[in-house]
Amino acid sequence: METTTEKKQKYGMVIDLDKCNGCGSCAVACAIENNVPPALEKMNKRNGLTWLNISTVSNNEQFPKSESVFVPMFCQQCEKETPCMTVCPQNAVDVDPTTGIVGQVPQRCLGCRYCMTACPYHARYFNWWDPEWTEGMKQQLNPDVAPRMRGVVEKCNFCHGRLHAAKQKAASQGNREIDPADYIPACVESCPNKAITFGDLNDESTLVAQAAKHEHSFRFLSRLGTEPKVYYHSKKQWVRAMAEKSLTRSHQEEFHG
Amino acid sequence: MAKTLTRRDILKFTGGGILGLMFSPLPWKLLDDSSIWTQNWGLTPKLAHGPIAEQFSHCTLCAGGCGIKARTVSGMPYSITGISGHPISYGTVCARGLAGHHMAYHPLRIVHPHMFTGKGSDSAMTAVSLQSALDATAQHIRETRGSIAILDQQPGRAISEIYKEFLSTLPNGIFLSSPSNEDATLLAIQAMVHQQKSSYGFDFENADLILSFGAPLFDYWGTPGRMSALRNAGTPKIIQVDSRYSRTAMQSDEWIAIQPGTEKYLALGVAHLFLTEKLIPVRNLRSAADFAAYGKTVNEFIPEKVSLLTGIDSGRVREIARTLASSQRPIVVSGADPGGGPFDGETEKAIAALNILLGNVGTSGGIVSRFDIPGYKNSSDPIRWSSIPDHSIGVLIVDGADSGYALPWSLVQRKLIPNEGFIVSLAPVLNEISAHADYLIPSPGHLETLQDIPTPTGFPAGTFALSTPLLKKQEGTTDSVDVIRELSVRLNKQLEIPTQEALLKQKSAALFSQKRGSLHIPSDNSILPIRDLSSADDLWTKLTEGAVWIDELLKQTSVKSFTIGLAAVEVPNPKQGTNELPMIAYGWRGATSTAQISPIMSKVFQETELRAVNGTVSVNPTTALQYGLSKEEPADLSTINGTMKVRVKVDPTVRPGVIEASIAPLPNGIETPKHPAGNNILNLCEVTNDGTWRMTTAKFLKV
Amino acid sequence: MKSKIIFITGILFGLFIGWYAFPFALYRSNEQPLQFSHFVHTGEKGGMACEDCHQTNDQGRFQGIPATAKCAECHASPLGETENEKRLVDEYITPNKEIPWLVYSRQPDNAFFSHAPHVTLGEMKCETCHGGHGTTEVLRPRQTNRISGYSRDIWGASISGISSNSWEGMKMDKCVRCHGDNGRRDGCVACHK
Repeated sequence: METTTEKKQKYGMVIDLDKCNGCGSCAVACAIENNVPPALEKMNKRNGLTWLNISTVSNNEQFPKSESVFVPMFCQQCEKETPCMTVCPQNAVDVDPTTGIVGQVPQRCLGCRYCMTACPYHARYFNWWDPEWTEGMKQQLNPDVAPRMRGVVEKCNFCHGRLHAAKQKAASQGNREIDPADYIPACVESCPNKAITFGDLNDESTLVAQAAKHEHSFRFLSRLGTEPKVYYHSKKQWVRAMAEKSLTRSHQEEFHG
Repeated sequence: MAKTLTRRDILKFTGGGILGLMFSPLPWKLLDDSSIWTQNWGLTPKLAHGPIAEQFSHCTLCAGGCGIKARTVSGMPYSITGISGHPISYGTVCARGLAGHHMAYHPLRIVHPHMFTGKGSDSAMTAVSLQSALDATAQHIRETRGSIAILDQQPGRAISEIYKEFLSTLPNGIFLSSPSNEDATLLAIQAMVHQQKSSYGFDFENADLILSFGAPLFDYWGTPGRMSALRNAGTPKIIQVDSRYSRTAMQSDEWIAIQPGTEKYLALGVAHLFLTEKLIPVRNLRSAADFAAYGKTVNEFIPEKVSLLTGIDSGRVREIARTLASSQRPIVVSGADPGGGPFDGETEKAIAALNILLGNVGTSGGIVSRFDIPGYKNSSDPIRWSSIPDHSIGVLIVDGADSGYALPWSLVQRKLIPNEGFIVSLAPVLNEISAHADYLIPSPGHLETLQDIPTPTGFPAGTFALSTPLLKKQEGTTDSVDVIRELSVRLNKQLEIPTQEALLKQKSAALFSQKRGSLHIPSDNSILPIRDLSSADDLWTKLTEGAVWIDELLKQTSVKSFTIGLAAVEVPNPKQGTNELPMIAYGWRGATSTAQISPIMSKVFQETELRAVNGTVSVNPTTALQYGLSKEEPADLSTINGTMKVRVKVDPTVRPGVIEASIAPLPNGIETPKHPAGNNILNLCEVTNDGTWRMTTAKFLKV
Repeated sequence: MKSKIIFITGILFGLFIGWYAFPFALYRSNEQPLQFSHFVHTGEKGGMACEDCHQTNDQGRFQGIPATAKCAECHASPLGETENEKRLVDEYITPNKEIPWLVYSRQPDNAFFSHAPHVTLGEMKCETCHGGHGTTEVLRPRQTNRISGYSRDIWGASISGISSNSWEGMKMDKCVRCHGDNGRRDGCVACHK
């Protein structure tokens, strides 16, 4: 039979930080789409499961000159020498050759958490406990995404369940390529301010490819050389200056400005 | 050969058996199966199978009226998204609505009538029959010496009219709703207008400037989708006067940081400039019958005085006045943050009066009047809690809908007769108010029963939609309309109360006979004029399939006569050297403690601290230093109403000398039912005589 | 001598257990709730094709085993005189109940398989993966692995897991081999949910 190759796509995002108002719709939509369980009483910022995690970052000025932005952070889909993929002893992480998506297969994971250490963006989360939903909410899980047991790592996969649905629809119509309008990740769809643009970075005609090249677009920690496919954008200089810094603050900064 | 079997033989046999097994698939298959078994154990839920479909409905969790599209598997919704092209919500559903399908199965969901016995930590919930709950309620209604009140936090629905009808048959029935927030300006203006009362809305889409006094326009005000569509369009320009660096302040074109509690002085200062610098036509001033008294009131609020009171530079005050006056179509809106509740009456009047001076009432791009929705009685009498005498309510029935706004229990408690006040809650989920109830007669929850979705607050035209149920109604729950019918029968009132479906069909039929307006059809994003429908049944069918009706815009006639009613405004003397700080209670509409939210919203609270839970206070680093506060230790916050342990956040965006206290939601409030409910910053707020709790002073106790 | 015999007997016994008795213990058998003859429908008399009942919807999702409504399209009242058909009409069609079929080919929750790329794009025949199922006269019982919970069809009829044809067994390695034979390179996310 003949070899079948599809056009290689490189899915990426550009997030406009000037538009993000920290409403949290994206985080909730992500959790619902991907069957991420709600927090148990003992969960907190450190041990919770937030595939899409939003931080509030300020410019360290004093009132009333202080400004904040909200930074949604999730798997940046590193393209080059993907740290989590490189360290996984189980080959539970791989970069899909046709879409560029860094896929996490929780069923293969043995829970060593090496990938969590390796990820520069703290975008990977460990199931410290078994997922708990009420009996009724268990019937409301998304049938396109498998739930995970405790002891495995999970992270954003650019809503692969929706990619499956888009590919399936295209195939049933006889197409090898999906219709881009059919593949929209939950966060992109739910943002009221349309702060997230998503699409194929390889296709010059898409909004996302153009936005990524904009002079005000940047990537976090690009100095690490992992070539993440998630870009951020801001008109504000102080926001762009954050790009190479770590997001934690010292005691000094916290209390004395 | 020996006939007896020795131990050695058995061992040989076993050894041979094991060797044989090695050459069979058994050990390898067992290994494979066991590893699969460890992954499939019962603690991980299994996914549903079945046909995947799409259904349209509307969200009932607040009065926003957003259209929703649900994806279902075997009929069970598993995902909610917006309807793009929806004329009210523009494809957006807020975070609370996205998880709306969870509410039916919330951990605190009540699906059977219950009675509360005992008090405090000894209290217990006992299941009772519906009949006994209704009998007890009717008994109390008959025997109470106080008034009978129904608290409806989403007034304007069909059920609200049933409540009013029922209350009118009682000797002292009172219809209550939550102190208004989003429609505060509109209601203030309505009270000022001389002519026949009309419903008003904000024509933001045609305005070019909005001056907002603390209204959380971009943080779930009105219909979130409508506001973000405006934001995305880039007009109108927004000037946000806010005592906090709120999300709206962040997204606005200009943030004016104001000392909390001084909003009215700024409004009066702007009015002063309007008059003294002749920035507005004189006829606008003269449209107020009491313009002389009003002029006298604003006279003393010169920019320098305003600057001193509000902390805003006087030059900036002048700029605001000039910008506002020179805009073609400006609107001034207040409504404040849902956590702190509405502004006091004087502040609302001062802010609303600016619209009158700008002459935008009854003009396109301003405050527009709209047709009443056919079939609805459209009464618009705001209930002021201040007009209800303290300790006068004998029976309180709390309707199941929540506004998504805060309502301090202390305000409700104040109006109840102590030790005699009898509370029945119709809420489907145990929440802050229902946790104080004596009886629970739960109604079906969101998406479990047919509901009407009347016009959302501030919308420039009337709208009507249905929330079609997507879930099966759970046995043991009772529609509120049925509860009222049962009570009226027990009390021998001759009232014809239809079922929920019949009631809403009546409304739909009234809509059809009016022949005005058009339907937006969600499945194909098309618009269908009502005139083109064949029958009332056709309209009903389309409404149940998720369509929304939008009225025609009413041709505007500029309103020319008002009475403002602001005779004199006192400026209190500044407090000398206390360690009491103004406390700004803030929340997030939809999660402000009278409402329950899906457990999945922990992504936004507990697991990220993107939003603070109840019991978190934020202070500026200088304030923290001054009072020895740090995020490492809880502090003791004290107000006139008590003391509470709070978590401290040190935030440079907070105004120095001010405490920002979050009241939304209760930490782990999504998991823990308590009767009465646990400690809540909202109860620390001081409720004034006019039913507002915005201005509280608090201090940190030295540990 | 005796010990050798005993040893060899042991080996034979082990082999017997492992190859013959083991499957009986490992799998439990459940009969289908209703007997159904594919042959009656797809043979000369019925003349139907697979896709007449096993359809794909407009989103490309394969609808699997048809709902009772599909059977009702022809069998609203009995067409023949068999006992099974009578049961179909009385117990399922009339009260509008779904038949609780036991699915042979149920894959685990974490596997994503779509018929559309294989059947529509790949033009594969149903028999390639489902064998002669479409012409069977009776529905065989579903044999479920007591430990893993999956159908015997997933591992394959033979306990060794080795099959000589394409439709016996459908574990991941079989899918991967066929994909590889056809020149496809897929990442994990392509087939995992």
